[in-house]
Amino acid sequence: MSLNRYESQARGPLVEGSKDYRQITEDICRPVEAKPSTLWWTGFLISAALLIFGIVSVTMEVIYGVGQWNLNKTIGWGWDITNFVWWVGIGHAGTLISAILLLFRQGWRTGVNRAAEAMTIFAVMCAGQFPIWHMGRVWNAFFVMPYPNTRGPLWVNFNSPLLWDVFAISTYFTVSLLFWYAGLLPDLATLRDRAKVKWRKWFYGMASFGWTGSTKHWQRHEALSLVLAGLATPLVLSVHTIVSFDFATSIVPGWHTTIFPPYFVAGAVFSGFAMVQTLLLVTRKVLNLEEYITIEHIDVMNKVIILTGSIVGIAYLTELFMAWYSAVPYEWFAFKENRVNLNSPYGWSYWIMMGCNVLSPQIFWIKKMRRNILVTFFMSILVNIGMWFERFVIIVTSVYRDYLPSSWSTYYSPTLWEVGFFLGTIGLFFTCYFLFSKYFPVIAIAEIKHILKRNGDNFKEAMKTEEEESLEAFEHANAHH
Amino acid sequence: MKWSGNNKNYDTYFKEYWQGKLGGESAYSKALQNGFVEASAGGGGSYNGGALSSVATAIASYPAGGKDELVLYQKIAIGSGSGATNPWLQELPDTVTKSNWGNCALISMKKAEELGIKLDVDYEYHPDKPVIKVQSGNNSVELPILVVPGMNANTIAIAVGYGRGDKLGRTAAGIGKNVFPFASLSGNTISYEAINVTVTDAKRKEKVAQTQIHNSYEDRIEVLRETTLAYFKKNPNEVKEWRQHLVDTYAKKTGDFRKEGTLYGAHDQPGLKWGMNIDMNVCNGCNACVVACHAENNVPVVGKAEVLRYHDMHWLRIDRYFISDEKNPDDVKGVVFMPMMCQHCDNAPCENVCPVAATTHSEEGINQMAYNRCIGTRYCANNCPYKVRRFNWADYTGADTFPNNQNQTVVGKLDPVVFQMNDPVSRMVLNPDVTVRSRGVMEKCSFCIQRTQHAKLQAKKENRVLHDGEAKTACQQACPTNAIMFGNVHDKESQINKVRFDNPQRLFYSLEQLHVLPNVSYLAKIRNTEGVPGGTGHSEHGG
Amino acid sequence: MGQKDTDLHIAGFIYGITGTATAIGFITWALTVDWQLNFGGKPFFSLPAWIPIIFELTVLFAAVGMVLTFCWLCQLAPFVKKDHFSPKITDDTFLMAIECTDKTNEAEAVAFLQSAGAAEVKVEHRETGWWFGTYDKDTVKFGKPVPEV
Repeated sequence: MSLNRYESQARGPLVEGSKDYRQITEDICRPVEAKPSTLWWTGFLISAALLIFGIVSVTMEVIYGVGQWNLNKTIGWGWDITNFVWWVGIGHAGTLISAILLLFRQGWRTGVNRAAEAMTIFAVMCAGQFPIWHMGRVWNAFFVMPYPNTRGPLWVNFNSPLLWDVFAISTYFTVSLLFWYAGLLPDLATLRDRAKVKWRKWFYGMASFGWTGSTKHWQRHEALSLVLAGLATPLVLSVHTIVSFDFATSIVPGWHTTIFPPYFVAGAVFSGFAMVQTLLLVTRKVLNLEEYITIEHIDVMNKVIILTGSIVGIAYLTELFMAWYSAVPYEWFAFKENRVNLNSPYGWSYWIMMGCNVLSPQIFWIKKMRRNILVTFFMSILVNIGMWFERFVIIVTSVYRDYLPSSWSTYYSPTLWEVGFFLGTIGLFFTCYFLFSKYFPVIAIAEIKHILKRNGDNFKEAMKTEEEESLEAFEHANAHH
Repeated sequence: MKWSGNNKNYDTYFKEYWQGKLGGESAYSKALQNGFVEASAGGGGSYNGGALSSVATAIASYPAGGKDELVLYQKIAIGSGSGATNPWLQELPDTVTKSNWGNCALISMKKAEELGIKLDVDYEYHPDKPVIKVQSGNNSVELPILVVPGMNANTIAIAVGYGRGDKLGRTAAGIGKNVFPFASLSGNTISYEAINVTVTDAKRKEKVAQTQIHNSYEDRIEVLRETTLAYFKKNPNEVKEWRQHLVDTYAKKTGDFRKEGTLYGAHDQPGLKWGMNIDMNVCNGCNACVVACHAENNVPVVGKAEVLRYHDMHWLRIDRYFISDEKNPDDVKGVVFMPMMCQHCDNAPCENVCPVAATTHSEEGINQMAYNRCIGTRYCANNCPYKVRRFNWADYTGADTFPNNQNQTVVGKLDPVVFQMNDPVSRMVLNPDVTVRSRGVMEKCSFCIQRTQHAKLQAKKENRVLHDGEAKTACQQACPTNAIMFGNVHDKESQINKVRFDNPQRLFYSLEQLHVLPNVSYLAKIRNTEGVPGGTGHSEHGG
Repeated sequence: MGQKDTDLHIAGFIYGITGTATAIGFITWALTVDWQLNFGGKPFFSLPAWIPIIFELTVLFAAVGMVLTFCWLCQLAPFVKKDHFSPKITDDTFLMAIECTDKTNEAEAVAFLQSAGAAEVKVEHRETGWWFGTYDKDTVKFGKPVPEV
């Protein structure tokens, strides 16, 4: 046994199969340059169909009014804002992987960060649809912008959490897009330089902004990435905090909860990682990238899932406790009667949430389960169902029975168009993701080369002999006599 | 009066008539005070034994009914059917059942149990109610039920005036069922009952439109205060003490709950400040205010289909709560009516959350809505603790510039009555002083701002201060019992101030502990019964 | 490599502060000077409620400003076409460019580099800087087509 450790014992190689730089470029660019597979076409067409259904659903809502949804005088928000929060939350994992893990120098992020960042951007795009189209007069949506006008000028209400959302979501989208694109530049240049066809030369040439890969470029690029990561980290925390303010700063019992910001952020990372798992498990299979998105990656992400899932679980229990301990009868009613009580109209949704978010991820304490692809895939879907219900529980079960018992409302269930809108955003998300996986490298080529030296199979092999030789032998070989 | 060829005003006419009849001013005053006239004054008190025995015989010979009895009644709004063609009246929720657009069979809780109808969450939260078949001789009717606590176990009550033909127009046609055939002629009077009916479960469900589905106020004393006379006599200061408790807890230093109960401090409100007081003791739930508000403010009629989806638009509604025994919800001790409209909170939660500043506070204490600024996020409605904000879910008034946007086919098909507003003649019902709101806009009570503005301008034109009572809201004007008082609270002499000052033991603000500072105050309901509620001492519990 | 460290992050900081100042200044002006509105009894100057927007604008300004500065410093933009010495540098090759002037002995330099173990040494005549163009078109320089490298 040697004392020398050149690489972590806890972690297997992050790039499998002895690769060199050339091979990496080849492997990752292949799906972009090859003709799309039947599987890709199937997925793309299903997504596009869903997207079209979504467009029809929204059109109906815009033509005939929000009455096309089953919201009512008591329940002003239902599936619309539930879906909004759900999508924003999903987006958070991407930024977490790309920014926070960059700051923490986590090597394993490189295999998954590109796809995760893309997921962030598409998820935020989907999320943004809901606050826009849920407006009664969407054609006046530009009123939320503080632009000089002829009405006074009349500015916007900077005290409104919904306006904070406008700024938070648009900033988040912009910064995520910049961060993602900045990271893409070198890889797009690679694709440009490999391009044989005219349109590819044109497209990737245009898209790569004339990147040359000079030292000065790389140096500034690294500085930019680092500072953007530094900006994105508090930003991502702020975004879900602000989303939670929509509820936390209101006076509705069950919304008015100070624990919301950290609880929302943890929940966001939780659901986001689940979505990353869903996407990557499919991506690695379809694009033959098992050697880059390894079981090691899946294992690590499952650990994040169990961590954040447990934080969320504690948050659930804490808010339940606080509702009782605060001795505010309205608050306690919202929790006890509207949620925990299984016989209440929406009691079932609370228990779905509890089951999917708190209980089911506990299975990941077992290593075998963390490394099982099927289990992981199933769990990732389950977690996202649970997190959807978390938002539904918060929004609907709080507001449908609040202060005045006279306004307690009839049972709210979505209409065809509400469901259609949701499916439409799923369609939008996957349409974008399929296009992305076809036209952009799903793994950061330049960055994976960065870690190859230390985390590749080659390195592990090379170090093995040194690690295994005895201390005496090592001393003998290296000591200066 | 002028038409009758009489030039006196009604008051004088009335007085003269009764003074003539009763002989003198004092007798008239006494009669007014008593509320009735003793007809037998001077008739002598000879005991009429024969008459009594004839009454006894009449009672004995009254045909013995079967187990179940059907009673036909008239709703306040529809009457015998005379109000059926008026959309406002059709849309008006019934005083007790809170159902509109149609009649249903009101049954007791015991009857529901007998029919195997479970009064569970599903019954309450879904508009689909079980249908029963009521048969008497050759007449039968199938109607969905509504369970009313406190009813006689074997009585079924159905409102008349429904089930009108197509010739009556779009409003009344096909709404409810006609139950007049159950009435019979007994001698010279119509008997509005059928004493022997059979009730069977029709094994299907039908939707019943209701604007309120929960019947109890769940002991939420912050929402409303009511108690019995006996209890009030014993603890006359309970409401006052509860309010004082808020001051003691949140405004220890200055004793000013308004200013000290917040981190922010309060805005100056110089000049006028509108306020309203509602005396729940004299409110009898007649709904006149609701219709008045409907008419005054161009509140849209949405039809049964939309009420079923809980899209009713009433700016002013009357919340009805049954006060009943906690263990036995069928034992109804009383009914409380709480007229509820925008409370015009000085710290309005709705104003804070509007992203586009469409709802703000005026210096006169009115919570204003700028309809053409509203983009319809509905955040304000969510954040309103009183749930008084109403959203235009569809184009109910034809006010939209979008063509053909009322022709929903898949979801939310509108009733024919809504289309009535597309007709230029029907549109003449609209009040020209009030904006007609378009689809996708939030609306709510404005304290009849067109009336307050008008009164202010009138005073300004005449170069004088505004008199108290000059500006009247539509609901106040319509209230037959003067339950609603409205005026400038900065005017020390105003009636609103007086009524608040004179009733400290009953004065409360709904949900005052939230520190939203409503401008609508209420006077607690004191039920004239001797029962003393036990337990918490606040009220008898509801079911 | 002895390169001077980039000052990009300082620029980012300045942009961020600009964003903060813009947000505070504009919101304060709009709500307390330009048009006072009473929202739910809050004071006109209610700073705590503006913190989220102030923060978001800080981040937005810093991020957008930095990326623009980066693009400007590196002379990167869509449809910018630059001089590339070898397509392989974006793949698996490291390239060292040495600028030659009239006084340079090219043959000597080539010989030196080859002796130092360079895989390939080329001498090219190129313009410096950048120009608008697309990569699917052959670049026309010095009046004659330059063959693809």
